[in-house]
Order: sequence, then C-alpha cells, then structure tokens
Amino acid sequence: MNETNSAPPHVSHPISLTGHELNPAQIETILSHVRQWSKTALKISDRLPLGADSTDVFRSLKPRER
Amino acid sequence: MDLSRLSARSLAGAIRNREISSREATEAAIARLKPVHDRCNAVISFEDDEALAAADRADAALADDAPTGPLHGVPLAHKDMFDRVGKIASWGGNIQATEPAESDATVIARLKHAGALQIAALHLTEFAFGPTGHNYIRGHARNPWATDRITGGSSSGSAISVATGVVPAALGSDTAGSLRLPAAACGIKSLKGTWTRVSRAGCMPLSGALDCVGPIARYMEDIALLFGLLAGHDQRDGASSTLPVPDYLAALDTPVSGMKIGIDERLMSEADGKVQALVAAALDVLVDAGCEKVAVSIRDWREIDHLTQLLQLPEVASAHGAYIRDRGDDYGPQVRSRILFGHFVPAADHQTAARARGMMIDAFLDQVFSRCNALMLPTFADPVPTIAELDVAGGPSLMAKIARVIYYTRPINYLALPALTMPYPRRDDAVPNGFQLVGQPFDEATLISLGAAYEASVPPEVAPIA
Repeated sequence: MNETNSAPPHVSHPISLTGHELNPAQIETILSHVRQWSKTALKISDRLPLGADSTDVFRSLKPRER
Repeated sequence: MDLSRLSARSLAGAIRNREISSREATEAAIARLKPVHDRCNAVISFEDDEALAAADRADAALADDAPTGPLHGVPLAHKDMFDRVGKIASWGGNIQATEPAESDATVIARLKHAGALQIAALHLTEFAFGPTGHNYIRGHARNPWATDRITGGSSSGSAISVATGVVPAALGSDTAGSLRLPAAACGIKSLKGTWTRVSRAGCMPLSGALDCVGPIARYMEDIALLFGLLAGHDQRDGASSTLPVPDYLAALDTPVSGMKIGIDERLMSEADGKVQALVAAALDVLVDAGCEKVAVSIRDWREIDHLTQLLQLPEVASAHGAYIRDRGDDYGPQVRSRILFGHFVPAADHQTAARARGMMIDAFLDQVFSRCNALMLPTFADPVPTIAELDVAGGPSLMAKIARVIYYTRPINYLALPALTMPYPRRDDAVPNGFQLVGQPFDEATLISLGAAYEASVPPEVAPIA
C-alpha cells in the first residue's frame, strides 16, 4: 500500500474556522469521520491508474450494450 | 370529478376538453393546500393571486383555440430552490440571493412552456442539505400519513403536496437521496435521472458533481411525461447531456416479461428485517408481472459511500464558504455542522474521489448490469423514523444517523445512475415506505416500464389531509 497518508492529524487546541471557534471535542468528532473516509481514499488510490481523471465519469456513463 | 386523484395528464386532458377550467382546478388545489400546510408545514410561500391569474390566461388561451402544451392549465408546486423571474427563492434557509432572478431555471421554463402553472413555493430542508425533512430555520416538515414521522428530505414540501393530492406532480432535487427519500416516506414516486440528463441551470447548487433534478408524482404516466419534458441538453448547463431524449411515455407500455431484477442479498441483509420483508413483497409483484429475480454481488458499497462524502462535502463547503464565514449564525445547527466537515477533507482525498469515479462506475456496471436490467434496493434502510428520533440538530450522533438514513441512496449519486423510487404494497394503516429500481446510464426508459408494470398491481393512493 502507498505509504503517503493525507489523513488529518489530531488537534488538541481550539481552532477558528469560518468565523466559528471549534473546541477539540468538536474537531475530534469531525476528524474521526474524515480519517475513515481518508483510509478509503488511500485504499482506492492503490487501484487507481495514474492516468485516471475526473472526466472519466463521462466516458463511463456512455450508453452501452450489456 | 375528484381532482385530488387525477394524474397531471388526465387533468390536462379534462382542461383541454373543457370538462373543467384551469381556474377551477387551481382554486381546488389552493383550497386543499391550506389545511395540508397547517398539518404538515408544506409551504414556504403561497402564490394564490399569481396562480389564479395564470389559470385565467390558460383558460383564455383555450377559448381562443391557441396552441397548448401537454400540461396546459395544470396547477403544480415545487420546492423553493428554483430561479423564477422576478422572485428570490428562499432555498429553505435565512440566506438567499440578494437580487430577484432575471430568468427562470431551465426546468421551470420547460414546465411553463408545457403549460403548467405554480400555486406555491414549497418547503425543503435548509439548502436542500438534509435527508429527513428537518429544518431548524423554517420548521420541520411532517408526514401526511402520520404527522409524528419524517417526510424525508430534502424535497419535503413537494412530496407532501403530491401525496395529499394537492397537485399531481412536483419538482425535486437529489444530491444524496432528496427525491427518493421523501417520495418513499410519503408513498409516491420519483425519478432521479442519470446525472446530467436534466439541466441544473438556475437551480440552487449544492454539489455540482452529484446534483440532479427530477419529478415527483403519484402516477407513472406523470413521471414519464414530466421527465420527458425536463430531460435534454441545455446550453445554460454545460455538463448537461447531448444524448437524444427517448419517448418515455411509450416506455409505459413496454412489456417487462423476462426482465431481470438484481438483488444483492448481502447488501439487503443490512436493512431492518421489516424493510427486507417489504422488498420481498415488492419483488413478488414484479415477478408476478413476468420479471425474474437474479442474484448480484456488489463490492465496495461502503467505500463508494465514503467516496461520495469526500466528493460532496468540500463542494458544499466551498459553495457556502462566504456565507458561512460572514453569516454563520443565520444557519441552522445541523447544516452548519455538516458544512464544517467539508473544510477538514484533505484536498488529495477529494481529488481521489473525483478521479476514481469512472473506475468505480465501470466496476459497478460490470458487477450488476451484466446480470440484470435493474437493481432493486430499499430506499430507507429502516421503517420511516419519527421526527423526534432524528431531531439531533448538530449533535455528535448527527453523521451516523444521517448515514443510516441515506445508506442505500447516497452511493447511487456517486455512481451517477438513474433510480426510480416506488412505494411498497401498503398494509393496513402502515406508514408508507419505498424501494429503488436502479438502472444503467441513460436507461430511464426501462425503469419507467418496470414502474408502470408494478403500478398496475399497486395503484396510487392519496394521503389524508386531516
């Protein structure tokens, strides 16, 4: 598996975001979800060809016979 | 003539044949909407005078033998998130555009061109960002079948108004289930088309990579009629598909005998036992109509759900960035909390979700549609919850509760596939619920054929208004 993990770190102090202060408990709640999603992204990225592009969705949606 | 039980197509025919005037139909719809709103909180703004003036114009046009469209003089109503000339849509919140719209959203323009008029702007979850019908700014919507239950969201007012027979059809939008969940909870139908099949120009954006607009109705013929009017390329929405639009009304009569319905037993087992029994009952109806059940095996469902959130949440956070920075206190607690998640998603993961979409769609199509014509899934994983059960505002259980509500709907948006929601056969006084039929890209016609065959055995119902 790729060793690069972009999941966010733990935060132990309040931070101000979009004008609102978030306490560490709120931040931890958010990050606990984001870390799960990031793990999935990491797992999926291992299957993803280098040339994969966000516009691939249009090719995949072309009607086809099955 | 009981107008509350007519389809839009039948009502248009009655108006065209002078059996009833557009004014009479519109007055009846307005009169029915008032008690429905009192009971269910369905309306953002009533537009009686404008609607009656439009009805009079429709009647005058008929008297002059002017050309008429397929919805000439038919009163409709829609969730309040579509641009309309001279109006400021509420978006279901405290924050709106600062100037009135200079043009109609394309979907509104197309319905107007077909002759429809609008009697009210309807309730929606704040910024269409919530699957339950809770709205901490405008008040929660209440299910017409049992007012302690959720309506589903975000197209809550549209579903209430159609279910109670106020109007025969309405528009909704769907970023993670917002057409399908309210249709299911209110016992009616909706069609989320393939992503890009229907223009989003002039619609409040939430997540452009996922947003869809589509019809909610009691009758399949109205789903087919409206979807045919709405679908098709629009120069104002550069992403909208240029594929030709099939004759969806013709699809109502396409035989379904021999069509294969895919069921993933492992994925189904994650639903509540009562919901599994309802899916089995609905499948029996399709089998009786000549369809065949086949087993399919879907991999990566939970992973697809995670990718959906990695794609969606930063887009929502970006769309609301300036508003939430300057007017954060004008947001309800639930939407504000969910928007904040998007600020914590790493950009690399957002990009991975976007880049992986084609690969994940290809894999899903091979897993499912190499074996069947349509995949059957629940819409809700559980019986329709109460408003109190899900009244979690922005609390710590928010994301888990929402994830359960949209467990079977959200991944379909990432996969960009069409999905029709139909009501289960209803027993006794049970609160309705519904299932999805998911189709191949741009094959909405097959879903319409299956829906029509199903409706022949499970006829539409009208919810009580008191």
